[in-house]
Amino acid sequence: MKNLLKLEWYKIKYTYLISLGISILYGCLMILPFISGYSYNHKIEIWQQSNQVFDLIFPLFTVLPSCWLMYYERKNNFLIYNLTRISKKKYIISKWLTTSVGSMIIVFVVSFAGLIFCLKFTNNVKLTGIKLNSYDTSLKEFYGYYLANKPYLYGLLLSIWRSIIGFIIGTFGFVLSLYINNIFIILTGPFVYVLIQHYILSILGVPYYSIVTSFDPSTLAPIAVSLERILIGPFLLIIFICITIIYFSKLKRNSMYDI
Amino acid sequence: MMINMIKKNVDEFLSKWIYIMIFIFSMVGLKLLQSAKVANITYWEFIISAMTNHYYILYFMIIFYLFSIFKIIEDYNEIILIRRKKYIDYFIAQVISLLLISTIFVLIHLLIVTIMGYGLDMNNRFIMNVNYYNYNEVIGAYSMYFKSPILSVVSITVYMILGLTFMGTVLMFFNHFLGKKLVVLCMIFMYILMLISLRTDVDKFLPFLFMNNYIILHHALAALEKNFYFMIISEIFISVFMLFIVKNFWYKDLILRKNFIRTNGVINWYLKILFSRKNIFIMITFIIISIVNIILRHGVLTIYDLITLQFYGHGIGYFNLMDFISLIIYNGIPIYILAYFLEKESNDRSAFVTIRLKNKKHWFISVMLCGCLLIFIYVLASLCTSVITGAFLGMKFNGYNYMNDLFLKNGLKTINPFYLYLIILTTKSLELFFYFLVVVTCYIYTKGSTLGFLLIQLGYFTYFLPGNMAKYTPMGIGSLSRIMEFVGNNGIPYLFIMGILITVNLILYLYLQSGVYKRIFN
Repeated sequence: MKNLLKLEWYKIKYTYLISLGISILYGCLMILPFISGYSYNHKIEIWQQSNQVFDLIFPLFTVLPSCWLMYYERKNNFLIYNLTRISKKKYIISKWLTTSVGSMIIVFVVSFAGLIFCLKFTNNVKLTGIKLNSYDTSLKEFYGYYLANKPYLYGLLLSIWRSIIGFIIGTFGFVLSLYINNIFIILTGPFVYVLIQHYILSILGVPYYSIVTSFDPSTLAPIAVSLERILIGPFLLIIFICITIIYFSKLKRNSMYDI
Repeated sequence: MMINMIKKNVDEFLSKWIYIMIFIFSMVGLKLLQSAKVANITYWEFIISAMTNHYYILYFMIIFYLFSIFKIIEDYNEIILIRRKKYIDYFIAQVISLLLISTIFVLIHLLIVTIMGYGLDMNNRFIMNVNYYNYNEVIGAYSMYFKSPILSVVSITVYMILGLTFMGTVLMFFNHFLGKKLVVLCMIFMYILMLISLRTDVDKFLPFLFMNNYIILHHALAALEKNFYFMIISEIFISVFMLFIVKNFWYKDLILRKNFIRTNGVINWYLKILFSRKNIFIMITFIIISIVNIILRHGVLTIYDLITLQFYGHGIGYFNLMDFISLIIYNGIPIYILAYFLEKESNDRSAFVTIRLKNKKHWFISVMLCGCLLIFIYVLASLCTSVITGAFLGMKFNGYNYMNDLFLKNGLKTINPFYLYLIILTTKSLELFFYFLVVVTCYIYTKGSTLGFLLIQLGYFTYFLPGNMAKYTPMGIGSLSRIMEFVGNNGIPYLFIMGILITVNLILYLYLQSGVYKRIFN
């Protein structure tokens, strides 16, 4: 198993490291446009504001670096070639772990690097929010006490939570790459899922159940967000993944060996 | 011979389904009887109210009739056909059997209500109960035009029999000249027109187009008032015209659909991939979802409000997550379908297909044509769907209601509806076509459409640029909220937008056309 994981790592090493570099750059640079034009209470709110965009496109960060691997191995029959050497289950599990843990780390890095950059290097931002409103509005937000007083702890916990969601999204991308014969759908599927799920749940009047809200609770008014509601988005996604697996393996009987 | 054929048709009609119809009509009748007893109306008035219940007629009776006569309409029994000397004889026999079926069909209804209403006041007069007339204004309408209720019952029955026969004949006529598939489309179209006419007043302008005016007498009365006999005249006139055509040109085939596009080479295959049922379903579903979203979020709207809001998009200088996502999804659907199509095309295009292309340019033209067609149909379909959904929900066709405030706030004139359609069709199609060209360019260089699709999604980041720059980027420029005519100084004039879009499209197109597309075959 250990060797298998190592092997997988060697296959995606270069693309993965490049993507990691790009994501760190993205996390830091995305802070810059949000420095001016808003009124903040605390420096961490710049980071919070800049995450608006990342909320929508984080599935791309998770899926693009690693999910293409399975597709190409199926396409050039490497998977069949491997069957005689390693147990099929072990091979797929090691691949799944590499992909999903990879996505997990990328999400964590983007989120946390942005936070550190924001807290360390934006010293000359004027914090006018408290003066304007005459009290600290951020205390009212979801876990506002930690947001205001312990930004590092808040950011770390949120980043870890995000990385768990990143893990699930990575799993989704991997499941798609197991059964679908079109690389375009594999690479954009999770992104489209997140967009459409948020859109439809917002129309139905329950935006707090969507995965975008779980990913970033500050997108909604603090009254609408609670700990239980945040858990529902990933839960729905896990159900969706299970349905996808059952649909492709039991109903459509797609084999992952031919393409 | 003729009699045998008619007998066979009538037998076919009198299947076990007729009991279901009797059961449902009895339920409707019972409900009406209850209210009739409360209002104390006469026996004949009750019959009128039951026979003219247009919700029952439109939502059940006509559908049932169409389903039961469809087999007779599309039946092309060659053995019977051979034994007639002329085609017109066969056609007339069919029409007569339709007449007979309609008569039986309507008389069953009449019979049920005559039995059911037994025990009500038998006087042959309108009692002019104002309270009940307010509740059921149909009887009031009949009391204005007819002297006695019996007379109106007779005319309703005869009118309905004639109307149903006429509808069947028209469908049979279409079936003969256009084929089965198009007849089903005609049927659906006809039915939608009927529903629209029930919900709105559009049928006052051209009552002859809406089939319900031929079947339901008080609709004709509402549309034409005292001149309702025009409907019967037009019915007779059209029937004679159809018979004439059938008699003289029965051997002609009117199928034109193959000549719409020059379908040679691979374009047939491409069109089949693009316009698959799944794709059409996806497009229509998302259009309907976006319309529902608009209707749920806003108050009283007119049709033009609905259309404007549907294409409103997202403007510069603010950020609204929901609007932004709707814009991305609305623009994304056709691009996603096209990108998927390109990816599938590259997977499935084997050497056998490539060999059969006459030259490389042929491939390029086919892809461009298919893309154009899909995009234009998508925009057109979303316009039509908004109009139809709006009409169903009883929205009005005149002016703006919700948008008026916005126009006033920005100090602008309201926009003429035809100009509105023009703006939407041109800007949105060109914008989507630009995205398509970007996807094709990336496809030619990378042999995959993922990069192009992602580039477009990332292109929406231009919304975060400083306002003066963001105004002129082509991403999302087709939104009405970026056009000066709608939002004032925050936008840029329509002609300027057209200029930008046409230039960008032309540059990309000419670049591709200059020979870049040949890379795909390397």
